[in-house]
This record gives sequence, C-alpha cells and structure tokens, in this order.
Amino acid sequence: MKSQTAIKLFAVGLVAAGVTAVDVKPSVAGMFDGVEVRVASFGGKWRKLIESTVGEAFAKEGGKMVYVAGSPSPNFAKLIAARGSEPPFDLMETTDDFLPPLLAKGMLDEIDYSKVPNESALPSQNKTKHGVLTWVTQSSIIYNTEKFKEHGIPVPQKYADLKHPKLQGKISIPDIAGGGVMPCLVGMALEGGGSETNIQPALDLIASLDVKAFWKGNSGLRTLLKSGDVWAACAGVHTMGRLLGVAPLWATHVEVKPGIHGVLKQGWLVKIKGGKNDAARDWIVNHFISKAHQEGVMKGWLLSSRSDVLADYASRDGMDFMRLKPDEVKNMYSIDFSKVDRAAYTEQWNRKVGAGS
Amino acid sequence: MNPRARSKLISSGSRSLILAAVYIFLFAPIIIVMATSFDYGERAYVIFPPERFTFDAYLNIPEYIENGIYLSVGVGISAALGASLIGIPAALGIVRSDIPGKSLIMTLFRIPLQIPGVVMGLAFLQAYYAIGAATDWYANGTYIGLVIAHIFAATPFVIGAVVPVLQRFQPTLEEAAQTLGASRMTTFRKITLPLIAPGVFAGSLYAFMISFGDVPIAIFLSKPGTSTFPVEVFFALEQEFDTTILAASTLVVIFSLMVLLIIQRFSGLDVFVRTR
Repeated sequence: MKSQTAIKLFAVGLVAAGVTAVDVKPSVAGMFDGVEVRVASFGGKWRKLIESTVGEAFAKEGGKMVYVAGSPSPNFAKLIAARGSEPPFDLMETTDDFLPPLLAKGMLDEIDYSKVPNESALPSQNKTKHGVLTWVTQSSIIYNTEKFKEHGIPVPQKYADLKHPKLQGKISIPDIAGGGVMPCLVGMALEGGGSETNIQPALDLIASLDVKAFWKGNSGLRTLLKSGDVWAACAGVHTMGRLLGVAPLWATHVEVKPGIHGVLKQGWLVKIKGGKNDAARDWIVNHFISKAHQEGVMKGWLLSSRSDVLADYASRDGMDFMRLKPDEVKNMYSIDFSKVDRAAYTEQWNRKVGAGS
Repeated sequence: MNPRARSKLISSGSRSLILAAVYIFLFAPIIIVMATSFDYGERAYVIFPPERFTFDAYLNIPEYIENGIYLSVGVGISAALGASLIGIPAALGIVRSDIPGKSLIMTLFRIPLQIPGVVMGLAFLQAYYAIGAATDWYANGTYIGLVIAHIFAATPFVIGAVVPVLQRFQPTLEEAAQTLGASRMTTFRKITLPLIAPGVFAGSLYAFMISFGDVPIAIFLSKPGTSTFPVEVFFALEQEFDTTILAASTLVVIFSLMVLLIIQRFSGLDVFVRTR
C-alpha cells in the first residue's frame, strides 16, 4: 500500500516537474530564435556595456550575441588571414583608422538602413553605406589645475604651450605604437602648418619637449595623472572624465586651425563581408545606435553619435570639459585616414623622437 | 672596531643590500598587483598602497576570465606534455646519434625561439586557414589549434633543458643495465629517464610557462570560448583598469606558489636546477 502511494506521489511529482519545465520556456517566440551573431569589439568594461545593452536585448529575441574581444588591429589581421574563408566575426567595431583599408580590400557589407530605424537620430555625417558611427572622443590637453595654479603656468591654448619650462619632465604624449596617437599627432601637425599627410611639425614639437612618459593605454595614463607625476597630457577627454572628482584635472581643446578646436577619434560599427544572418546583423547595428546604448557610451565619457543624447548631456552641469554642442562637434577635425601612412610615420617618429634629436 | 671587522661588516652589509634590492625588483610588481586587488571599486587608475580592503573584486571576477584561467591551465599542460613528447626523443637523437650536421639540426630546433610571437601567431592562423580550405577543418579558434602552436613555441625549451643533462649523462650506467639483462626499453625507463628527470621536469615547466603566459600567439588563434587568460587580461586592461583582473591574477600567482610548494614537498625544487 505504501509503495503504491509512493508511486502515485512520484507520478504526480513527474507531472508537476513537466508542467514547470514547460512553463519556464519562453511564451513568445523571438524574432531571432537560434540565431548567433559574432560581434568583435574592445574588451573590459566596453564589453560589459555592449553585452548589457545589445546582447541582452538580442537574447530576448531568442538570439545569441557571441562577443569576440579584441582591438581593431588584431581583428583586422584575422580578417586578412581569413580572406576567402568564413570571416571570424559578423560585425566589428573599429576605430576610424582601419576604415580605409577595410573598404579598399572589399571586406565590408552594406548596411540596410530600412532595417535600422534608429538611423534617423544620427546626423548625416555619422552614417555611411558601410558603417555607423558608434562613439567619438575628442583629443585635448588634459592638465592638472592645482599644479598649473601653484606654479603659475597658463592654461595651454595651443600645443606649443607645452614647451613652458615648468612643464618639462611633466608631460605625457601618446606613443606612436598606441591607439591614441594619431589625433594628437595630427592636431600638433595642423597647428604647426602640417596635416595628416605631413606630420613633421608635430614630430619637431614632440622632440623639443622633455616628455615624462609616452603613454600607450588609458589606464596607465590615468594613474600618472592621478598621482601627479604628469601635469599635462595629450589625450582624449574620456581619459579625464573617469578621473572627475578624484583628481584636479581639466581639459582644454586646442584651436588647431582657425575655428577648428581639437581632433576627433571615432568608432564605427561595420558589417563584415561574408558574415551570416544579415537581418540579425542589421538589428544589432540598430541597437548600437539605440538611446540606451548611446547613453551608456556617454557614461563612459565618450561622445554619443546621436544628436538627442549629445544635446541632453550638453545641458548637464560639469560637462563643459567636453565640446558637446552640435556646432562644437562639427567644428572638430576628422582625420582622413586614407591619407595616413602609419608605417612611414612610425619610421619618421623613430628617427626624430626615438633618437632624441 | 678593527679595520678587518669593519671591512667584513661593510661587505656583509652591501651583500644584504644587493640581495634586498634583487628581492624588491623580483617581488614588487607581484606585491603591488596583489595589494591593489583588495581595493575594489569603479576605479580607472591604480592606487598603491590600497585605500580600502575588501574581497569584492574576488567575488566579482567575470566568468570569461574564470573560463580563460581554466583554458590556459589545460592548454599549458597539453602543450607541456606535447613539447616533452617531441623534445625528449629529439634531445636523445641530437646527443646520442652519429648523424652528420647535428649542430644544424640543433639550430633548426631552436628556430621557434628566433621568431617573434606575433609572426608565429599570424603564420599559424594563415596555415590553419589554408589547411581548413583544403580539408574543411579549421583549427583556428580550437583547443587543439592553440595547443599545436604552443607545442611549436615550447619544444625548444624542453630540448634546451634536456640536452645538457644528457650530455653529462654517463652512458656506462646504461651499458651496465643492459649487461645485466635489461632490455633497451627497461633501461630507458629505469635508468635513463630517472637520471634525465630534472631536465625533463625543468623543460616541461618552461613549456607550461611559455604556453600559460603567451599573448601574441593566442591573440590570433583565440575565438570566443577559446580565449586564454592572458589574452582576456590584455584586452580588458587595454581599455580600462579593472580590479577584478588583478584579483584573478592574484589567484593565479597563489595557485602557482601552491604548485611550487607541492613540488618542493614531494620532490624538491632543486630538480629544476640540478643537472647531474
């Protein structure tokens, strides 16, 4: 008798478990059930942002966003190696310097803007046939307000002001091998009468400075700025945004050409040729320029590509170290990377700066 | 104090100072990483000495970092085994055989040491794509693909550690065993292998370390799911300072120390330096 009761209880238990199991399945089928899209972008907290704003939304539609962590340089090398085979990822977030070679080598698919409704929030220059702008940073001179005041150093109005005798041994400049070098280099070149095709004025200026550290990564530079070892640095404003309230820092945007204040560094999302699941890729592109994701971009002290998000942040207090008004962003210099010869510049750098002449 | 005693004191003091400087040089980076890992928060920079003490960073280590550690340990052990399987017979062949051009062969085995890691990573990636195009099996982004590349990079270290031990080895010991009736296999197992064990141990450990710490090769051969610990750390810290990464690194350091202590307990660390 006892065993019969046990069997009945076991059966009831099984049915209950089955009902529960059925119940936990999604009640509504997603738009992308079982679809997997591989997105290549930067690691660290950037990855957390994309996974939380784009990956989770895609998962709600039944899809899976596979994150391929990596900076544009190795990702580009992987694409070159994979030519003729399936690409290692379907979408890639890249810096503007890799756009010309990606286009020249025919590695990009066109974006179908009819499936990207958020494009209406982007100014026309922030979207092209092959990519959408996802973030921007502005090259600036970040300086320690207390040290400048204490030593009577005027706020730099131009890069040449870094020659101030009291700043020598207290300056940080991006290293030629680092990702942040080109906006600084081109800004200095423009100021000295050069351009992205002639960086000699920038190299002459750097060679004349007593540079404390050539920075490669933002976290290293932030440590130098926070500790007070470096009083002035050529870097993107996002570098100091993350030190607001913990170090006496501010940023100034140099007028590199009449009416042009500062140089931009941009991040673009592109569709890789041969990538799978085109509809899902366009859906993800749309979410990269969604308000939720772009607000996350602003929280990381980068500039959003959306006009409405920029306008919202421009009206907030304490944001004036960044130039957020539409005219201010428009009046910054965008480097034409098709004219940049990185290998030749590295050689020139090594001769002029590396040799210490 | 007489001049002799003073000179002895100065000499002893300067020795102690040099020793202290060497220890500081060796351990300071590790101590800074370990200490900073207890200062958890939304920090964008390194603070040393830490301003807070909490284990929060250890409780918030991202899953992809944990997976990276497991993968790196697995790949490291596989690479060390693979490199030993190739390196020991290669070392025996180089030392024992009479084939001509032994120095050329030894040089060939050292070639991986001369190739920059980035070049090696790219070369393997290209090769895997070429093999994949022909066979429809792509080794890039697979566990086995990573292990093969790491075996290539690590084998010279095993050979480099085993060859000097073999060169000091007295062949008369093997002859004696064989005279007493031992087969060639038994002689290798019972005489040769135990005597060259220090070199094999040292070579395998080097191979493991080369694999475990590699970034430039793995950066090209990793895919989601096969991204090693150093690669994940590299991409994470490239963008943002993150204490959880330091916490994970601290755990790896502690794990390595424990392994060394276990080896010390059971066989003695001198196996890695003993050559005869």
